[in-house]
Amino acid sequence: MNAKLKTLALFLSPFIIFLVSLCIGRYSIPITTVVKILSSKIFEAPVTWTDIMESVVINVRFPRLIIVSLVGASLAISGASFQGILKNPLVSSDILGVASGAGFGAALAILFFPGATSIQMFAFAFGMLAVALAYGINSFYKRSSTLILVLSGIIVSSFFSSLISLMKYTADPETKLPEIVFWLLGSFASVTVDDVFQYAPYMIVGIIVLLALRWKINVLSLDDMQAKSLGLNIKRYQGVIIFFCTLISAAAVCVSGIIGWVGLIVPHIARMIVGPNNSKVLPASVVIGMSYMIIIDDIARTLVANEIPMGVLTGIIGAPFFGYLLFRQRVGWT
Amino acid sequence: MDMKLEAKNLTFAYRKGTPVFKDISFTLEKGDVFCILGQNGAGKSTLLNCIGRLFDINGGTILVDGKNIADMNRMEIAKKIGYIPQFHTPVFPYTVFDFVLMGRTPHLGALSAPKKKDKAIAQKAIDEVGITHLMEKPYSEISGGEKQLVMFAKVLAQEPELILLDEPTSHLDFGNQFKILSMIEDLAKRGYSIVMTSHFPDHSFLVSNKVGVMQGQSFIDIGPANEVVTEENMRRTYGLDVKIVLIEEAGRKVCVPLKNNGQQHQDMQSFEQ
Repeated sequence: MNAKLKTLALFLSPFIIFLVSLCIGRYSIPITTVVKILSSKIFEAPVTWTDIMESVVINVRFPRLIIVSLVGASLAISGASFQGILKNPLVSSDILGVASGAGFGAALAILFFPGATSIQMFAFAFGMLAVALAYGINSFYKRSSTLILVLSGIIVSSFFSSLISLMKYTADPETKLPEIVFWLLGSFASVTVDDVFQYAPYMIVGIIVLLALRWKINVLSLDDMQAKSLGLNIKRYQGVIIFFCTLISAAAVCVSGIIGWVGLIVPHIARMIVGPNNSKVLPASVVIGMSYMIIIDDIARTLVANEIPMGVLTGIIGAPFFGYLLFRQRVGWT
Repeated sequence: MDMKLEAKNLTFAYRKGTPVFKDISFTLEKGDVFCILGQNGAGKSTLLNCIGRLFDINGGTILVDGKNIADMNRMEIAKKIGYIPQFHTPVFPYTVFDFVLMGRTPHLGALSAPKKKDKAIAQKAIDEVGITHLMEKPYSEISGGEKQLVMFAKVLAQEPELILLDEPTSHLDFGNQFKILSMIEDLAKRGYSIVMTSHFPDHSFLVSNKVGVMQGQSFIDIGPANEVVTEENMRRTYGLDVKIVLIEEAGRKVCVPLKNNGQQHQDMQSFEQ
């Protein structure tokens, strides 16, 4: 009974946090009004609120929170999946280079093809390209292994990180450089309704595919000989999982910029709560990723007058929090 | 149906090196226990891996029930052949039950997870092996002997016809070794065919009805334990003088190394002084 209650609380929490977050911000709105505004979109209801309230809830906060929660879910589930298939609890969603690839793409676009849409498209494309490169390097080796795959990711990551530095070095320090730096720090401040329609579908589809494969990730996390002897085509499953992990994290990064930590610690928090079985770890990562990201975003937009970059907060809040959890509980791996 | 394994002229080499073994042939019937003996590095485990097509052979054919395994996909092979590796620690501490349940993998579709029926089969396998009390324990927190029993439960849940065992008794204490050996005997009686590698000639007297001695890329002898595990063959394989005697109380032969066996032993003695 206790366990069932815990699961219920876990899965309800992002929705409650979502609802509460619609109320808070520079312009705070009572929760009853928020509920009325939302339900007026489905049912007929007398209008008892101002246009500004409706606009803030429907046009600003709602799309932003949708993106925030999807980005949290995407980074967390791809981190959990990578930890499983790469048989390593220390890797995160960035391990194969998606973040630095996307960062380079964004910097490139800021310098040469400015505009919000092109920055996003470049970030998305280069994020995918970076992982394709890492996967390609790994395939060169006849006896490729997960270790070589992880090392290929590190090679590609550091290559693109250096390219980002090059971009920064050549950028105009008055105008372009700050833009690059702020993009890399990550933020949801400029999320629009269009972003939801453009990138949410990728994230939703990717999350659904990974959830469908979640039990297989258990088998893939065993050593290769065992997974093989159990009848799995390891290469094919790994390829599919890496593709969808990359798709959702590239979509996440291109709307939000680089947000670290979530893809590493959320899967661990999930394991502390539900145990190591990936059938439970992946769904738990999705909901915890959503909740965590919404809370961090709430703090980012309410704490001080200017929005604090996400990349700063996830670490400043996430690292001590994770340290506290490690101290409190045994971790979900050996 | 009666399972039959036919291996004909198997040859295997890592990359382009010299072959680990060549022209190895043998046949197994349902309920046979085939024990492969040989030195460290003789290629016993490699041969085992080739039989399960975990490695691809460079020459020869392996037929399971008359079907060439080179023409079967992984799932089809996994429904026929189960494999227990020598030593295994998963990175994530799955519970014993979750781990055994993974044995059902070859019976599941690409996107599906185990159903009620699979869970019941896993449960049955756990009960049969006698580890019901360990079911909810993390695999990482049980002893070596218990781990090996869990591997047996997992392979039973897989429902293969042939089981490959890579040194099933290594890392185990004296009591657990015999527990595992009697389990192997039991499985053979129930109709599973078994291929196992071993470092103990004694084990071949205990459980096997067929022994192959690997030495210099091939079997130097193959047949029933009583005919193959001889003083002469053991000397050729391990470079040891042994005495093989019948112990009436046990009802079988044992293989005992003799004293003053070669140079190594004397070195040891001078080292101790």
